Amino acid sequence: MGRWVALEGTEAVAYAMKQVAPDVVAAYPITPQTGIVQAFAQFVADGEVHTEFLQAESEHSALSACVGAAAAGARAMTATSAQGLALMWEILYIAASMRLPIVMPVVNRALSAPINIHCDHSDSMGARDSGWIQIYSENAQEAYDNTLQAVRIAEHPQVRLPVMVMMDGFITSHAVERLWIEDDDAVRAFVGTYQPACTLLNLERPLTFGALDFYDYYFEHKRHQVEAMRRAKEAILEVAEDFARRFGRRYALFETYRLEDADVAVVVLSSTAGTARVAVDNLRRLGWRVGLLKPRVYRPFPDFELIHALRHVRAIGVMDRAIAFGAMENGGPLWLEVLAAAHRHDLRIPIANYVFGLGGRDITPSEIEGIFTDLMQIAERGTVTRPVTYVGVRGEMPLPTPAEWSLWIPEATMAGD
Amino acid sequence: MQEMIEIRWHGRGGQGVVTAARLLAEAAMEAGYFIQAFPDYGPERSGAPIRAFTRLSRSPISIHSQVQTPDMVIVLDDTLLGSPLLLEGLKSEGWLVVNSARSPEQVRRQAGGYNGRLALLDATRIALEVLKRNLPNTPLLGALVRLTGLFSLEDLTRHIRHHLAAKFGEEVVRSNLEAVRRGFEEVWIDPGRIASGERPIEAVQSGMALPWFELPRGGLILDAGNAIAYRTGDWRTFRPVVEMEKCTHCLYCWLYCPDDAIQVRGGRFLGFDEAHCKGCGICAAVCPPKAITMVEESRAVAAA
Repeated sequence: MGRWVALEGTEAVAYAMKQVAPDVVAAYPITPQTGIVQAFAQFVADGEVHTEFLQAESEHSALSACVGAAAAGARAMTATSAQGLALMWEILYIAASMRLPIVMPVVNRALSAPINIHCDHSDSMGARDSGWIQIYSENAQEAYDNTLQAVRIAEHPQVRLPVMVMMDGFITSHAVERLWIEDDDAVRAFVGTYQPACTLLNLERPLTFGALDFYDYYFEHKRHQVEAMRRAKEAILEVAEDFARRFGRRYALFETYRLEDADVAVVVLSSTAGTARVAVDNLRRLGWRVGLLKPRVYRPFPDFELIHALRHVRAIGVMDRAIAFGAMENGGPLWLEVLAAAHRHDLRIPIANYVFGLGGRDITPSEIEGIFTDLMQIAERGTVTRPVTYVGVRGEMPLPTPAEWSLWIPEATMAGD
Repeated sequence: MQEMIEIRWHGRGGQGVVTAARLLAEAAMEAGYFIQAFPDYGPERSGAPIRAFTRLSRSPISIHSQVQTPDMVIVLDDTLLGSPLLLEGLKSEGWLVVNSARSPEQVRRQAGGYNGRLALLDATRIALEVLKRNLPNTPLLGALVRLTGLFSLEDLTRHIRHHLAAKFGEEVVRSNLEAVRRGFEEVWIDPGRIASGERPIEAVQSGMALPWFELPRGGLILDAGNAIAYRTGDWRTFRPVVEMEKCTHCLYCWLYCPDDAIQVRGGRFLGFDEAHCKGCGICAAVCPPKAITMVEESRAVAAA
């Protein structure tokens, strides 16, 4: 049987790693990921797990070591944050393109400059097109569960792609929460033994890894990679199904909350989804029909399923904890993706963007209520007048409050615009 | 001249193919043309077959794809003549220009029975005689001036003087101009027996192998060690020649050869693996008794 424990997010992930007992963990500590590496190193030092633990001299080397280990047929993991992820950049693409099932918890942290150790999603969002599967976790429980599932997803014979498991820096990583830890044996049974299809160390069948690949083959290999990403969606659901059967906790591509009869909806990743749930409840008490959609899997992006779930609402607010500088309206990456998906699947409703929480700026239920209020006005008006709002930024026009909604007359606001 | 002339260059890494494509373009630019010159780089391997392209036009050039149907195929190394891809897409009115000491008949035969327009120049010999270095580009430029009539020998002279005088001095300018003049005069031109509209030789489709879903994932190569099937010896522009009476069987060559192309039996030097020796010359450089010398491949083949 499992048990309830009080753990920080990083400790929960380190515990999951201990239970997975990868052959190789190569990492370099960086705030706020440090807790993972520190706790895992302790497990190794105490003989609780027999993993080859390597503290590399940089994140670039850490992931490189994982690439070598995974190519050799080992189950390999690492973990990082922000600048560390940025330093891994070129190896991210190599790991994905070589189809190596590396699992990497990423504790989301703002990228410098100015230097900042707190949460936003600019690090992992920057890596969204690197070919890694990306799974975002709301809390310590999800970070633990997703880490376990990531191993199975990455190693799935139809996939063989590396997986990043995100949690919010400090908000989740350094918060102690109550979570359910499964039994070691049950986890071992769930993750199974890694059966590499090809290994560098197989002397019976020598292979060449990472050979030069020009315009005569490179494109075909990229197309092959696309197929893996496509199949990942199904594999993620298959693994989630088995996880639910064994442990009772159910996961999908995304999670909805009071969305079925909602007029307006917010789409938001990770810990803020939890905060948004409070805002939804507050407004529901006032009789507002508001709902929430929390994407769990960002890569592969569940465009069809997501738009299908949102088809009945009158306005969507997409909350982004990152800016895609220079992109349309200087909005956030999640918004751009939802806009594209709506266009692709013929959903013609207003979709506004709310960029929030950069550099760890706190986001509160009342601010999210402001976002819902703005969305109610947008739904009433039928059009978006301010495509991107930088929530809570001094000098920006503030969002309306729910109290203003009862007094709001569309024409008056239009004239005021 | 027609609106645009497209040229494809073939040679081996280290022979100045890319430079040649550029030199011609620059000279043409000074004569008033719009130009484009670009390489088709592979791994930068000395002696490996490489290609480059030149476009010369009377109006601005907007196309950025490789040259598909060249008006001219220029071959800097006649050991490449056997390749079926060499003449791919060459227009029926197009010219095959070859740097070779061989006879026109030999060249035509080697080029798969090519019977179109042919120009031959022993540019390597001229370069070695005049420039004292294996730089066939310069005499070849002279030949191209004569062949295309795109610009005059005076234009080219001015261009060469302009680019070389300040950096290398008058002596280098003079020898380069002499190389150009001899290229212009010595190029052997044969219009061939091609009827208008007829293709000189069937173009080979450089078909790509497998569809994406049949490839091993991640660029994996399943038959490791298949490099042995790759005749890297074909990249050779110089080959090692040994004087056995000087060889002491010290096997320094075997130790240093980066391609494992030294054949040894019973601790004694036997010879070179010609299928894989790239002609890098390291064996000659390290040979203590200087028993190995590097000889130009085409001349070694001609002598044999």
